[in-house]
Formats: sequence, C-alpha cells, structure tokens
Amino acid sequence: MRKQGFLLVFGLVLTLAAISFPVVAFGLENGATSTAKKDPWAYVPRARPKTNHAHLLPGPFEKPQDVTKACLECHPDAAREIMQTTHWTWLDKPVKVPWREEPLAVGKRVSNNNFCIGIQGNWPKCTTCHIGYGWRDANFDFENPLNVDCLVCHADPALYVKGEAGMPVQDVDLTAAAQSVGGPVTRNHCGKCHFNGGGGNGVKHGDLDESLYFPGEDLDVHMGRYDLLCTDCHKTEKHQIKGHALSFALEVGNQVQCTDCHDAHPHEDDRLNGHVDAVACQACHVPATARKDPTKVFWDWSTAGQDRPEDHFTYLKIKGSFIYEQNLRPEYYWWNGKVRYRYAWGDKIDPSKPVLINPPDGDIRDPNAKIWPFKIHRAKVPYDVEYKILLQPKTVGEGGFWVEFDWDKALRLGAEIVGIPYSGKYDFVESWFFYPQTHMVPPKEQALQCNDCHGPNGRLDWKALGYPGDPVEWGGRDTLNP
Amino acid sequence: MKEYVLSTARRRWPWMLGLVLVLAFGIVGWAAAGETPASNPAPARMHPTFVFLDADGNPVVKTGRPISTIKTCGACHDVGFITTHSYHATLGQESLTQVGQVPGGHPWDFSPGPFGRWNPLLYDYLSPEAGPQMDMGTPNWVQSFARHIGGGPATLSRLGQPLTLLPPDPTNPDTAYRDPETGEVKAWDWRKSGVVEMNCFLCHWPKPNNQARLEALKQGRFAWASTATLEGSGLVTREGDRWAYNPAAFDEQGEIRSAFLQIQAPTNENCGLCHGLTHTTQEPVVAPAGDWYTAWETATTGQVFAGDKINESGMNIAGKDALARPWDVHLERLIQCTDCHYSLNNPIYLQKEDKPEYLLFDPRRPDFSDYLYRPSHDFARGTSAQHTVAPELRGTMRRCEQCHSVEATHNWLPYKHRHMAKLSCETCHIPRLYAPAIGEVDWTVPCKGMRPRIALRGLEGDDTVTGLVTGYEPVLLPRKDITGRERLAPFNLVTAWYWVYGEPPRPVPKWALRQVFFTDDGEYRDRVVQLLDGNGDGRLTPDEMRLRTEEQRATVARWLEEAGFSQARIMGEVQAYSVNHDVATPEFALKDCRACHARDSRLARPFHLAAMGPEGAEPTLWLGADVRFSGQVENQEHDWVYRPQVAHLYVFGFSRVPWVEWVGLLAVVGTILGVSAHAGMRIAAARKRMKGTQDVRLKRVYLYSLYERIWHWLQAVAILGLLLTGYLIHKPEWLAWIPYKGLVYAHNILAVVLLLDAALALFYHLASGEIRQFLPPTRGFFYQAYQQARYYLYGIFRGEPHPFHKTRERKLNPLQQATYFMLLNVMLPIQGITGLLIWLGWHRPDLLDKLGGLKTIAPIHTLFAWLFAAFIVMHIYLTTTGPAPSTYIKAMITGWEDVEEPARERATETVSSSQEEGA
Repeated sequence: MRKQGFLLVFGLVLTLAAISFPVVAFGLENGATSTAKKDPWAYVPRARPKTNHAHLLPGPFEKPQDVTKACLECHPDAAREIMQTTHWTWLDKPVKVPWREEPLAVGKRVSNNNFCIGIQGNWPKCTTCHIGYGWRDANFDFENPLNVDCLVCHADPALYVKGEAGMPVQDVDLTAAAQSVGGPVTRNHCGKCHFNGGGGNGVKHGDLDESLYFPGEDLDVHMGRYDLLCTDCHKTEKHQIKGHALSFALEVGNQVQCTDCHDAHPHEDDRLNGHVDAVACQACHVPATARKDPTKVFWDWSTAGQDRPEDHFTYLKIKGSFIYEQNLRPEYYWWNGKVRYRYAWGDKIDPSKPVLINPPDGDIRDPNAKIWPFKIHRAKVPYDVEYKILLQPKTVGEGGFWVEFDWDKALRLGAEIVGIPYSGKYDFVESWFFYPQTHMVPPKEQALQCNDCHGPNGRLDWKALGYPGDPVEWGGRDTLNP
Repeated sequence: MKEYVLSTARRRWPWMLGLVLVLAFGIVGWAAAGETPASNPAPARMHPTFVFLDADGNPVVKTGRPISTIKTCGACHDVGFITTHSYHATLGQESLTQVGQVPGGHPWDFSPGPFGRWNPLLYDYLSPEAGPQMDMGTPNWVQSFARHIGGGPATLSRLGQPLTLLPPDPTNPDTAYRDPETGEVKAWDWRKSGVVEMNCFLCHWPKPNNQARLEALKQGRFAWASTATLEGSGLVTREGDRWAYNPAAFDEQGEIRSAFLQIQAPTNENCGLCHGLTHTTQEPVVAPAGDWYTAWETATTGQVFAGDKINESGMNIAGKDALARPWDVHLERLIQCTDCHYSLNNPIYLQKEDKPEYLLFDPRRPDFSDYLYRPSHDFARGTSAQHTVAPELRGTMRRCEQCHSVEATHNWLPYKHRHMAKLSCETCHIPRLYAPAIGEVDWTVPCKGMRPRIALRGLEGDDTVTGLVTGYEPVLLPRKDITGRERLAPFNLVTAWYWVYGEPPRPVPKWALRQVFFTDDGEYRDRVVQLLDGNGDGRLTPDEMRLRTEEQRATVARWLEEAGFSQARIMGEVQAYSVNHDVATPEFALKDCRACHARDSRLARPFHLAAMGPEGAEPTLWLGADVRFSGQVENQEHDWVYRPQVAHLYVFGFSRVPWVEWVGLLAVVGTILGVSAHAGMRIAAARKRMKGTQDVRLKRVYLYSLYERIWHWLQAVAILGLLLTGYLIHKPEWLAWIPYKGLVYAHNILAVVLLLDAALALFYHLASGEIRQFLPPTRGFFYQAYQQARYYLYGIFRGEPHPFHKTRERKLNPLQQATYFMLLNVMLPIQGITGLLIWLGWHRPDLLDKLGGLKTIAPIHTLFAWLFAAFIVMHIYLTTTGPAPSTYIKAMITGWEDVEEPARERATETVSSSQEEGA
C-alpha cells in the first residue's frame, strides 16, 4: 500500500510536469507578458439603493427651513458638514501667494470673473445657485444650519426649483419635494447650476452644458456609454465633494484625476505612453470642446445698454454683445494645477494688455506641469482709468445697470459695496478667464493623433510653450538644458 | 577618380568658405528682414538670396527672358552632377536599347524608363523613328509626359547632343513633331521653343504652379516652363504668352529680395504634384475620380498620401465610421516622403552598403557643404512592382524591417518567422485600400475627347462624393526583393485593351484612332454609331462603347487596315501596380488568422480584372522585373478574373493534397464500416448462441499497474486532442468560433505532452523490463498471428475462447504486438518528427525549406493523422471483444481484468463450478 501511494504521487507529479512544461514553454514563446492594467470600475462607487423617505417626512412643510429641520433630526451632522464646504461658503481659506503680501482668500463671495463680473451687491440673482436659503445681502447668516438647502441636491429635480436668493420658487410643493429624497445625486442635480454658470446653458465652461443630461457616447464616453454620474468621479464623503475649480485654485487641490480610474500609462503604444509626463490626458482626449451646445468665447460689456435688436447668442441690452462658438478648438498651456495669479479687487492692471484674471501656473521647466487644453473667455470689462483697477458694476436692483443702464452710477454703487475706489472715469479693457477642459471626453477613436499637434500644420505653438521646436525633431522637455 | 574628387575639394575650399559666409549672412539677413510673406513662418529658410539668370547668364529682371535654372542654380550648385544624378530627369534615356530589346517590355519598347517605354494607361507612344506612322516625337513626349521635371531628354537628344544644336528635321524623331491639331508631322525648332531644363522650383518651392507649367509646355513655350512654375509666388506674372518679373521682388542687381525667397527642401505636396494625392491641410480628404493620371500612384492603386483619419474624409466611404485610422500611419506620424525616398548622398540617411563586416557604422561621409554643393537627385527606392524604372536604384531604400523591430512586436503571432519569410509586411499591414483605383482601361473604342473607357475598382457610382467608395482588397502576388527572397505582397492589377498593328507589332497611334472613329469636329462617325448602337436609338451609351461581337471587332480592324494599319488586332495586358503606402495603424492590420488559413483564403481569392473586355482578345499577364503571376486568368462571358495560385506554399487550413485526403478518409471510413459489420455479425451470432450455455470461467487478474494506466489515458487524451485540434487546423471552417491561434497552441502543447509521456513510458518499460510485452515473439509469430486473426474472423462469432490468454506477463496478443510495434516504431515517430519539423519552421523557416518545406512535410503529417484516427476506431472497437463489452475498458481504469481462464485449468475445476451453479 505504501508503495502504491508512492507510485500514485510520483505518477501524478510526472504527469503534471509533462503537461505543465509545454504550456509554460509555449506560453513564454507567445510572449504572454502583458502587464495587468488597472480596472477602472474598481474605483467607481456602487450605487446605493434608494431609501424611500415618503413615510419618514409626512410634512406638511410651511417653509423650506422646516424641511431642513426635519432632515437634521435623522442626519444631525449634515448641515454642519455642508457648512464646511465651499458649496456653502463660496469662499476658500486664505492662502499665502507669491504676488502679494497678505494671504489671499478667493471665492465667488469676494472674487471677480469676466462674465457677470462679481456677486457683491448683486446677491439675489447670483445666489439662486447657492445651496442655502435667503442670501439677499451682506448680512446673510452663514452660521444658521436651518438655512442649508438639502432639497436642491437630494430632492427629485423635477419637483424642486430655486429662485432668487436661493429660495424655492413659489409653486414648489415642499412636502412632495421632501418626500422624494433618498435617491442618488444625479447629473440633473449638479447640472442645474454647473451647466448654466454665467447666465445660461454652456456659457461658462465649454465642457459642461445641458447636453450632458442625456449625452450620446460620442459626446461623453463616461456619461454616454457608461452612464456615469458626476459623483462617480467627484467622490463625496461627508458632503465634501472631490474636485477643485481652476478659477480659484491658489494651491494644487484634491483634483479629480483620470488616473483615479485609469492607468498612468494606459496606451499600448510606448510612444503614446511617453507623452503622459508632459501632456495631460485631456490634451488629446478632449480634441474639441462645446461639441454639441455652443459656449461663450467673447463678451463685450462696452456695447451694453444700446437699443438694438436682441438675440441670446449675439446681443442683449443688459449684457452687451457676445460670440458663441461650437466645436471650439482649445488653446494649450502648461498647467500644474493652480493659478499663476488670481485677480483680486483692488489689484492694479496694465490696460494696454489683456488682463489675465486666472492664468494657469507652470511652464516647460515645471516638472508638475503638463500641457492642458483651455477654453479662454475673453471679455471687455469696465476698469477705472485713473486708478487702473477693474470695477464691478452693480447690476441687479435699484441703481443697477440692468435697471437704469447708467454705467457711472452702477460702477459707483458697485465700488462702494466691494470697497474699492472709483474715480468716475471708466473705460473697458480686455480680460481673459481660463477654463481647463476635462469633461466631454469622446471615445478613444476621436482622440488627437500625432499630426494634429506635430508637423507643419499642428495645433501647438511649440515656441510659445518653450520648446526649441517640434519635439519630434528637437526632443522633449527632458532634453532641455537646465 | 578619388584623386579627382580630392583635388576639386581642395580647389574648392575658398569657395566653400564663401558659401558658409553667405549662408551665415543669409540667416542674419532673414532674421533682420522679419516677417516673410510665406504662409508658414516656422522654419528658418537657410537659402541665401541670389540672382535669377537667363540662359546667357544675365539677370532676367534686366533681359525679361525665361529663367534658366541651370545658370541660376548652377551658380552655386554643381548642376553637372545634379543633372546626371537624377532619374527624375533622365527617365531611362541613359539606357536606350534596340526596339523590342527591353527585358519585360513590349515588343515596341526601347527603354526601361518612361522615355521609350510605352504605358497603355497613357497610351501615347514615343516613336523610335520618324515617319508617316510616327505617333510622338520627342517634342510631343515633352508635352505629353507631364510628370517629367525637365532635363534629360528635354535637353539632350537621344545621341546626347544638346537639342538646340539639332537642325529642324521632320525625319529625326528628336525634332519631328506631330501636330495634335492637324495631325501632320512637322519639324520642331528647339532653338525657338527652348529646352525644358530641370525644373528646380517644382520641388524646391512651396505651392509651385504646376498648372501654369503644363500650359507653357502645351503651348510649346518650353523655355518658359520653369518661370511659369513661379506664377503666383509674387515673383512673376503672366502677360499674354510670356511672363513678366515683379520689379518689387528684386534689387538693382537683379537679386531676389529675401522676403520673396521661399526655396525649401521638397515637401509631400511637391512630390504629390506628380505622384499622388497628398494631403496636409485641415480640410477633409477627397480623391478625385476620373482622369487623374497626374495623381499617378493614387490612380493606379488607390493609395492616398494623407495622415488624416479616413472617417474624417469628405468621401462617401462604405463603413467609414469604423475607420478611425489615418490613411497612412507614417504620414500621421510625420514621416515625410523624403524620409524614405531620400537623396542617396544625403549624409543624414546615407547608407554605406559596402562597409566591411567588422564595422557597424562608417562615419566617413560627405559633410553638409559637400552635399549642398552636389546633392544627388537620385532618390532611394524600394524593390516594388513590375516597374522597370531606375533599376540601378532598386533596394536603396530602407525597408520596413530596417526601421521597425519586427521581433519585438510580433510575439503574439504563432510561427512568426515563417510568416515573415513568406509574407511581406504590406500583406497584413495594408489589408485594404479605401480610395478607388483604375481597374480597366479600354482603348479599343475611344470615348469622345480621345480618352479611354476607364473602369474604377472600389467605386459604385460616378464620383467619390456622391457614389459609394467601397475600396478594394489588393491581390497578393509573389514578389522578389533585392536579396532574391520571394514573398507575397499586395498589388492592384490594371487591365488594358488596345489595338496593335504590323509585325513586329506597334500600338495603333492615337491620331489614327481619332481618324477612324471621329469626324473632324470630334463626333463619332456615323459608321461607328451604326456598328455599335445595340438598342438602335442612334446614340452610344457607355455600355455600347465597346466591341461586343466578332463582327464589330472585324469591322474596326478593317477600318484600321484601310487607314494603313495592317493586321490590326486587339491586345490585352494586365499590369501589376505595387501597394506599399497607406499602411494601417496596428489595430487595423490583418490579425484574423482565418483570413488566410481558411478554404476561402485571401491568398487565393479571385481578383476581378475586367468586366467589359472586347471580343477576340485575352489579357496577358505582364511579367515584370520583380513580380510573378503564379495564378491564371479566367474568362466568363467577357468577364475576366485573375485566380491566384499559392501552390508554392503550404498554408494550413487552405492547402490540401487531394490524394492524402482521399486515402485518409478511406482508411477511417473503411475501418468504421469494417468494425460495424463485424459488430453486427457478433451480435447476430451471440443471439443464436443465447440458447446454448455459456460456460466461460473468469478470473480477476491485476493486469495494469497504476503507472501504465496513467500513461495510457494521458496518451489517449493527448492523441484524441491532437486529432481534434489538428482536424480543426486543417479545416478551419469547422467550429470557427474557436480562435485559430488557440488551436495551434493547443495542438503544440498536446504534442509535447504526448512526447514527454512517450519518453517517460519508454524509460519505464525499459527500466522495468515490461518492454518485452511489446516485442513480438521471435518464433511462431506468424502461426500465432494466424490463430488470432482466425479468432477475430471466425471463432469470435462461434463463442470460441480467445486463442491466447492474458496474464500479467503477457498482456498483448500477437496482432496487438504487431500493431503496437508499428504504431510505436513507425507511426508515432513519423508523426512526431514531421510535427517537430513543422514546428521548426517557427524559428528556422530556411532550414525547413531545405528539408523539403512544408509542402512535403505537412501532407505526410496529415496522412498519418488520418491513419491514427483509423487506428483509434479499431482500437476502441476491439476493447469490446472481451468477455463483456466493457471488460477491457474497466480493466484499463481499475487495473483488474476478468480474464478467461485457460481451458486446461478449467477442466480440473469443472466439478466444483457446476456445484456452485447448482447452488
């Protein structure tokens, strides 16, 4: 019996060896050495089942704050968490920056852009998109948890609409809206504000507009082909949503990265993988922006106030003249994730040149910078000829430009509220506002190919980017002398 | 010779210093001049400014005469060297032969190059001698062969004298001119027309005006051709039939102002002017359909020289959405035409083939100043096609394998080296062309305007925008490369039909065809309409413009006879045009094994030649220098196809040797029939015997050791697996969802399993002495074999006991011993060795070829596979011949067998057994 057992083991070992040897040998010959790639789905959060709140929130609710109160009974930390976020504060923490003495705090609350220019004094309109109730003036109570608007992100977006100062519009049935919560936060929730920034569909970003509610896979492979939600990438914990808008990024923030899900060197072709140290994924994979709905690329405030035919895409009396563009070819700059400079009220400008409000930081010698695609919004905005500072008009309400069409009055009122001087002499200066392009990624077949950037008709200006010439011939930035 | 080069170099050095200084100043001057009017300001133009000179060496701004490139460019560059080192200029004039002596040429050709070699697509025939039947004299050729850059035969006579020295003489083919208007042969005065010097601007100026150049040639103002090329550059403007110089572009000395200077290295657009559709703008690619002979490679093959994606083309291409690949991956990746087709002494690319073996790189090469002084204008070319042009430059270009690491990228491909040995890279990497190409050209009934009827391949409809461009799959023909290695490569085949006359034959000239078919105002003659008008509506439809019947053919032949062209007859020829560009990105390369390893292999797929061939003619396959037609032309009702043959290769899944198939099939089917009949008879006999008593006594014996059983079953699995995978490799149309590559790997793995199993078993049997079991007895074998055979054929039906009884010491009967002896000593080794040889072809295809090649080895392997299958059938059947049908199989599983007891032993125990039965 012992001998049999030995034979059995010996025979089996031999047999296994006889089978495994050729499998291994041919496997090696076959070059089966493909390295395992990251599984993108591993990062995507599982959808949680909807919790039906209908019986939990019987109502009826008189005021929106009553809804918040009811929410907080079960989710006692929710408001406190929200109040830590910039979605609530509209103001970032102060940061020491190289271009000024004292730390700088930026955010919608205090900063400018070159669309509607600034919110101070214009609150009720602008704060329609604030996730709170009743921000009408400078005295809004940021410490009152009952002012937190839970419904805007959690109620069925078909049942809930915000109006001036962030209050729900008149006909909203608060009870019905409250009872509808519990489902996932969808593209509709985020899109209501983020697709309509700047006063309308697609005005601001170029890569975010209402076409993303129901995108085809050609428009956005993530949301179209795989039906991803914003929060699948902008992962949220304790109401802190991952991501960082460039327009206010004084520091490199916790940005959403392609590499959260994808390999850092995801291509089959080594030549392509060789690009990733210097070129952002977006540079090739966002070949054009505003591919379905047009985006605003130029806004001339100086022509506002005239009585001439109006059209949403070309001229409005209250705003001036515009240019919208569809299928826009991005512009390319080095970017390391923060701004090189951010205009703050009172900063001096050089009116002979365009004012770069939030230029991206980084250059060819910055190892953390990559070439990124940008949409640039160019706008002629008012400035003080004598003090050489940008000015913010009061637009909404009494004395506002949109009511009285009096620049001098609107700028004077605006300056008072913002706290900047105004000489009474104003003119308009061109300003640039930068948006990195990262959404609306089409399927890989539509990515740029070599000759889109390289060669005589390429879209990159190598000299401007700091290269001695086309890197195909002159080498990449690693070959530069220090 | 070396001496000479050295001495000129020494004499030249002060001059070279000057050149360097001029270059340096040129750069500074360029920088100072700031913006140039050029649309592309990026590359700094090195070229210094210079004076445009006329043929007498005077500034053209002063004289107003045509620019002489020889005098102008020759001021700094060695034009003597350039003109004699430029095939683009000479086009075969340097190798003129006797008429009909060109290897691989027509009987009327007298040069391997376009100057003297007739091409049926262009038709016009440069006549070797002047006379009343002359088609073209040299001046006609200069006008007609529009892709010639000048120089060569446009400056020198066939005997090498300057053409301007020749007296106008209508009997000299260099000075005879057939007036295309009147049809008369006249004398041409080269002094009056001037000669066409090599046109430097055509390649060295951005956006040269080719149209103006062609018009100047057509009007016979040869000397102005180079100047006309600059029209639109800001330097010259057309004024009537001459060109005037823009005074703002030149300074007082006649030197061009740097802002106007655009001399450059040739770009893809320059090459594309003559060679095909190049595309570098941001606009969508659209290939013209129709008479696009100037885009020569595009017209003849459908190759489009563009880096743009095909799915962004402006053409209506079938299945376009899926074609997210560039037309040509090299262009997409910024490879320029001149990166492969470089000047042969360009120090960047220069390859020194004659270096000794111990050198990897020879740094001694011309420096840049030498090169700029004497740039060779002979360009590297591959070995493609039947084109006999520039034979001395064959193989000067780097081929795919000289830039790409084939080894590193093809590990996924089974039998990598074998594939490389038999297939050119283009075969898989240019699987399809996506623009139309000429398929058929018919001159036998010319269309209005004296154009041939052209059938395009890969186009349904009239043009590439409204019609549907389907593209085409090129045909694969064996092509020899410079090393003599023959591999399959993709081609387009162009069939041409035309009239020839006389003996030795000549093509009937165009002017004669015009006379025969058309009236003076260009309409078809009434007799032509009467002859061809099939539906009697008095007009000729496109379908009627061909010779459909013998009567029509004979009538036209008679008309030609009457016009003085005796023995008029139709010839058809098939020319192969090589496809080497439009290389796909890797994802679009051919990777489906069954594309070739299948019954309808693309290696042998019929290639359509001509749908409307005229009556009474058969297309001849035109043998070229490198390509071989291994198949044949077949005709079905004027519809001609080329059917490739790959008999020189053995392609698994496609190639079959009929007798092997038949013998193998017979063996297997015969065995099945035989055992079926045997089984039927056994069953019938058993039924009869049922009534009688069965008194066979059985004894359980431990017959097979564990190891023997493992060996047996492993072997069984391996052999069955080999037969199955082998069958599917041989006939890939079965279970086509299994990856072919997987079958190949599985087959090879199983083979090694079987081999190791056999080796271990051999060791076991030798070491244990069990090998005796398999050795037939030396004495009495034949009688014993007879006994066993008699048992199977007779005794078994009568219920007789087995003639031999199994014991632990003797398990096999004599027939088994003989069979296994055969199997193990003949069949298994043959199968193993042939299999190993086939596998050897993976790594050393050359060695395999020395041993007879796959063509010999593979059919043997197939034949023995069939025999193995037959054996398995027999083997399994015979396992049922034990006491019970399952006895033997059970024994091979458990090791224990119920063995019949020998009769001797039984006799002594009869009593006890009958007692037991009684109980």
